[in-house]
Amino acid sequence: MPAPDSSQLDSPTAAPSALYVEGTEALRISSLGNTAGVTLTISGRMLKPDNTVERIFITHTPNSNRTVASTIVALSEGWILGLTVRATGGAPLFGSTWVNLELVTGQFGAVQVIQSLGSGFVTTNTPWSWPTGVSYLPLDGAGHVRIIQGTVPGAGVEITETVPTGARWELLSFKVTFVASATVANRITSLTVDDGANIYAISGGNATAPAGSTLVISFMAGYAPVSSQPTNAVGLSLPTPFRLSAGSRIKTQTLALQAGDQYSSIFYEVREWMTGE
Amino acid sequence: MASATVYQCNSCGGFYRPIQADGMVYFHVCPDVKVIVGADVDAQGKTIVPATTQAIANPRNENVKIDATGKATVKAGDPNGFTVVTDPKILQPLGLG
Repeated sequence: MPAPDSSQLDSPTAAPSALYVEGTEALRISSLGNTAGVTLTISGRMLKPDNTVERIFITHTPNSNRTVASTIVALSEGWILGLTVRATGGAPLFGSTWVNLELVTGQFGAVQVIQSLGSGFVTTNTPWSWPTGVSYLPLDGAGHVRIIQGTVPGAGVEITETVPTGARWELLSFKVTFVASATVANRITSLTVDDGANIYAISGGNATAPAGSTLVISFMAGYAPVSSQPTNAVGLSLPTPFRLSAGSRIKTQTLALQAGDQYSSIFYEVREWMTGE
Repeated sequence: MASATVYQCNSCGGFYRPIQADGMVYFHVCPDVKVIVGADVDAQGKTIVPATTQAIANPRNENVKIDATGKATVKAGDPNGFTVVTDPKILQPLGLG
């Protein structure tokens, strides 16, 4: 394909791209992420006023704590023909790395957004591109499903799991193993959810563990408990959908918990979105 | 990026994986209390003698804090807050081996 006639590039109707930058603007890449070791590469092409094509390669490292990371790169004069963002380091799940591209002025100090180009989720094999990519905000879409191994508390301590800063969770299941010490008492485990102080949901049932017993307890969204369960395993129900905001705590509440009782093997499944707040 | 590393919190004694199997970062938060002497309850579950509990001293929260301006403040490490645990005799019974 022959290069365009530069004399025609001055006419808006003949511009090779809708995105002309005059040489004083910069590209800002902002991201949200919750996965360690992820690197993004932003690649693209720019048509220069002298009809040459310049290739763009920018690397950007998202934070792994759901806070915003930004990289600002100055652009020379020309028409940006297209940009593609993909993960080139790490293995983020779809929905766990979100990127936003903007045209800004002021590379250092006060930065002013001139134009939003778009935003979306990226993985190693699913890039997001401009101008053809559909834009998504961090809370859009189906989220990403995760299995989390929770903190095994000390003996005589209840389980406490906290929705991290910048996350929104839908709790799908929560499984624990409970070993009752030899101290005689019938322990009964419930699951509570609070906002850091006030309990706003409790799920419980027939999860009773006498002295010296081991009980596997599973709380599952939408599960209908049945009466004929194995003696060492109990299934209990959670509401569905059960969405929790950052700072909410998922805790066990154990009637007659004894000093030598031990919770362990704590695994739970959540659907996570990043809030970008 | 998944890690087999396990930390033990120096405040509450809990064990946790700072990097989960899917590579995501885990932020430990200490529970409120630990039981010193468990409650005595009757067969109907009614408490006869309530439990004696003790607040967790110096509770830790590894989460990022958001200040009043909406800016995230990330703690500059917490090297004294946990101990790396590698002994399988400790970890395996807890489901962490």
